[in-house]
Amino acid sequence: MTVDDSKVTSAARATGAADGARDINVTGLGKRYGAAHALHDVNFTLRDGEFLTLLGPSGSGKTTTLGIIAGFVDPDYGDVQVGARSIIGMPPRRRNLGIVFQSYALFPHLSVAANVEFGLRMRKVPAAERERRGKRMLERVGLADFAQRTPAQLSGGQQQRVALARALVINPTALLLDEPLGALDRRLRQQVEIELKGIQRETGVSVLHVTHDQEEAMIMSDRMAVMNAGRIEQIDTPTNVYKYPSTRFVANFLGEANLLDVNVRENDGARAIVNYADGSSGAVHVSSAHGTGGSGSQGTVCVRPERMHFASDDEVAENAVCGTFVSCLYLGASLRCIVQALGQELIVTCSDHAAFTSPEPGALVRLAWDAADGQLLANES
Amino acid sequence: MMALRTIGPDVSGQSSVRAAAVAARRGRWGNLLWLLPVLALYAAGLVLPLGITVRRAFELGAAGWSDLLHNSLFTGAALNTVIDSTGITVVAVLLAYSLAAAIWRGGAIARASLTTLVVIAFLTTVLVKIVAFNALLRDNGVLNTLLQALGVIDGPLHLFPGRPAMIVAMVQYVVPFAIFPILSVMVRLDKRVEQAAESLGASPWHVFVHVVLPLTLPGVIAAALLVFVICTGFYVIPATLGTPRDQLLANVVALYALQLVDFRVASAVAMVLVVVVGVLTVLYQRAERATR
Amino acid sequence: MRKPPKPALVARRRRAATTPLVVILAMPALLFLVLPILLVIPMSFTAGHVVEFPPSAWGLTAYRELFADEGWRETIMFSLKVSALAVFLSVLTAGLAAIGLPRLRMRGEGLVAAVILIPLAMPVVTLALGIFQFFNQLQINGTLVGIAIAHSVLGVPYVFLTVRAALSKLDLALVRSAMSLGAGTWSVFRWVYLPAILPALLSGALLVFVVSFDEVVIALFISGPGAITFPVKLFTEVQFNLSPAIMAVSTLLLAAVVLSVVVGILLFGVRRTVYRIALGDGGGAGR
Repeated sequence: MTVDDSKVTSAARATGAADGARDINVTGLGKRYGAAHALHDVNFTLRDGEFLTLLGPSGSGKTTTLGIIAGFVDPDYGDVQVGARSIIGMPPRRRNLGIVFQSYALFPHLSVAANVEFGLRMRKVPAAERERRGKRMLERVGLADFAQRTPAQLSGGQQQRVALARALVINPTALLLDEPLGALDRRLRQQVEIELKGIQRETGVSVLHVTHDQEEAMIMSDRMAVMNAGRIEQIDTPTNVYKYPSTRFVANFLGEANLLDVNVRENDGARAIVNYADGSSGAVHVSSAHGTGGSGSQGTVCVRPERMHFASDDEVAENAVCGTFVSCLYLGASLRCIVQALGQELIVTCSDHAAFTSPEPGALVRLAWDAADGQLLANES
Repeated sequence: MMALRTIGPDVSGQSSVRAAAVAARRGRWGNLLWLLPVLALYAAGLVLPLGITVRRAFELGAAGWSDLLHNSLFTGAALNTVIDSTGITVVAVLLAYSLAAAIWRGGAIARASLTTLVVIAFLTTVLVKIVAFNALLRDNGVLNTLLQALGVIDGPLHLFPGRPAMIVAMVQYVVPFAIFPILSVMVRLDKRVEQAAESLGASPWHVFVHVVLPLTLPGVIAAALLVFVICTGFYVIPATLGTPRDQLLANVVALYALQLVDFRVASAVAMVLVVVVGVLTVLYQRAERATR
Repeated sequence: MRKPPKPALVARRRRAATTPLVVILAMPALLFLVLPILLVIPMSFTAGHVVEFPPSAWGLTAYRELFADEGWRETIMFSLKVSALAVFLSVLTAGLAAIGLPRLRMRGEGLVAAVILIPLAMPVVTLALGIFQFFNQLQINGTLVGIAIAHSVLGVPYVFLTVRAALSKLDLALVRSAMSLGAGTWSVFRWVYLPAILPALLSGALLVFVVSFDEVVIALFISGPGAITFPVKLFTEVQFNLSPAIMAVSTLLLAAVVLSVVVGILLFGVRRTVYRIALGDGGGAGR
């Protein structure tokens, strides 16, 4: 595969001829605060050119992970390597990582230009080149006219872009973003998400992004790692994480999920035959053998509400359960129905088309879904 | 309307509004009563005393003022005040900065214990400090005894009474005052600004020079002005630890008033002191506001 | 499958590296701030009649002399009375002013507040000279009341500042709702203002007491026979001779300061006692 260098996209760099020298490998990372495990055996690789998001609720360890990679927090065990070289114990100033903080952490006493040039000054880059590179970076983020202002004179969105320019101008091995959009209002945020992704594509820099906002993670990431209680629960592309969640936590954290208790009858690591609570049997997908129970074990199946549908009595389906219709909410583009089945309330969303008529409350209904849409989850450890 | 009637007596809405306005106006000037006691106290203890001092200072006349400028007691003390205050300010601010930095950077225990010690030093009356430095620095005091016992010196160093003892005690007195404005700026610094500098390649020294120092400078300026103002007003320490040659302006005021019983000259010197301190105080307040 | 974790690495402790720095930064200033003051303690426990370090014989002679001395006891009693009266005057006048000033809703509020704070910036010797001359005309030099009035002027700014800070946190809607419920001026004061400012009044009172009980210059200027405060006596004694009794007095004063700080910490915690003094009102250290 021959690609013109200037056209190398992040995706191509991630999968293409990468020799791994700029990959950041995190292995077996752990951190304790007193008796509490802030991090427990965290492993992942930030591939060169990739946009990887650590997604999780507060306290899940994502910021600690970022702090360890940046060098502000010391891990209790585990290793962080750039290429094959460990950077544990290396002071932050030698790590060559660009960091954008949630509060931006701009130098309030320096002009925008001096903020952007700070890293070059520390690297003893000659003044002329420093100014040239600083100016070019400010142009790239669209703030060339603001070079002589102080950060206090800029809006939140502009400050955020100065912080981004300041981190990018040093040609960092990777860009670490610590909830950089957290302080922006919602509309601005969506715009910045797209801008940020664009700049990342242009520059081809690897990005490790920390957020608790799932939408933000879905929009920007090449891959995302969902964290919970100091562990990575799943790491995959946004589509796969949504479609094939591997744990209850991931299923619940991203979007809505119907979680059904099952008995596993067969499990070959790709497909499983299960029995639902009402005794009916069905076939579901298994994305990884890791952590799912073999035959005879208890398990959980996740089905997204939009993947369930109302089926007629004679429809042949891989999975089908009967239940009582409870209620239906009209949401414009879709309908959100609640059905009592399998001893719990199931949520079914269907698009608003003419063919669908809402059953009467109390009516008996039949719900069905394909094997590919049911996902046998890993058991909680 | 029903609701209104249940609250107030049966007056119509309009007139009750007018009544309220009248009451408010009367109440506003009635509120002046709250200030009367403090005004009376200040008249007796501040305004009239200062008025007399100003009048006495003017009674000195042009000739008296020009005499004052050639009076070596006054000029010497003025010179002492400027030199000592400047030196003390520099030393005290340096010491205060390092101690404030230690409090800021220390762990919870170091922070609490250091701050407690500083506050104890701050609250200890100046008289105890004088006693302590007297006992420490006199010819047969603790320091000389110790140095002689160690064989560092043969004869005692003459530190007290004199400028060394006086300066040391004044520095010790003002350091806590200087710590507070510096520390309050330091604790408000965003740790992440330093982390940002570190991540951009700044060594600890560069972080200090390019980030911490410029951002704490307003606190340093406020501290320096505060210390200078305190120094210009020193009376007790020079009177007890200095020789007659080391006296400051405040001591000259006391000398003329209490021993030479020349209230005109005393008032004139006091006025000079007030003007200098007044200007410095205005500057201090500007600087202090800049630290917020 | 996940890769098996590598052998555990021992992390470099970045925090540990800062500890020696903290010690280096703190030591000179701290030795200089605290150690000289502490010297008075061992020197007070002497059996002899001269000040020496370390005392050639340990004993409580100095304390016995101190408590036997009528002069010390009289001046302490006199000082306590002066300070009590000064506290009363400052708290009353400054408390009323702090409440009344915002109620005036006039443009010069900031100016009036600045005027009330003037004694803070005034060189004490200037104030002392003026008060000496004016009180001479009133013929109240050398009286308890005269010294107390002078000290209360010094104390007003402290009470004014603490009460104002407390009032700034008071919700004005509370006053309005009390008035709408039919409360008169007195009731509003009694049930709304007083509870809100009571802690501020108390801490202001404490400050005034400390200021007055420590004040030398004014008390020296307007002292007279039978009107010598404790600091003035200490000041004059120190100028002439350094006796073990003075060491004992100093030790007791130091003990009082340490004791009150310790009691404050035990009652209110380090943050509210110490950090508030160190960082101004609000104690932002942990922020």
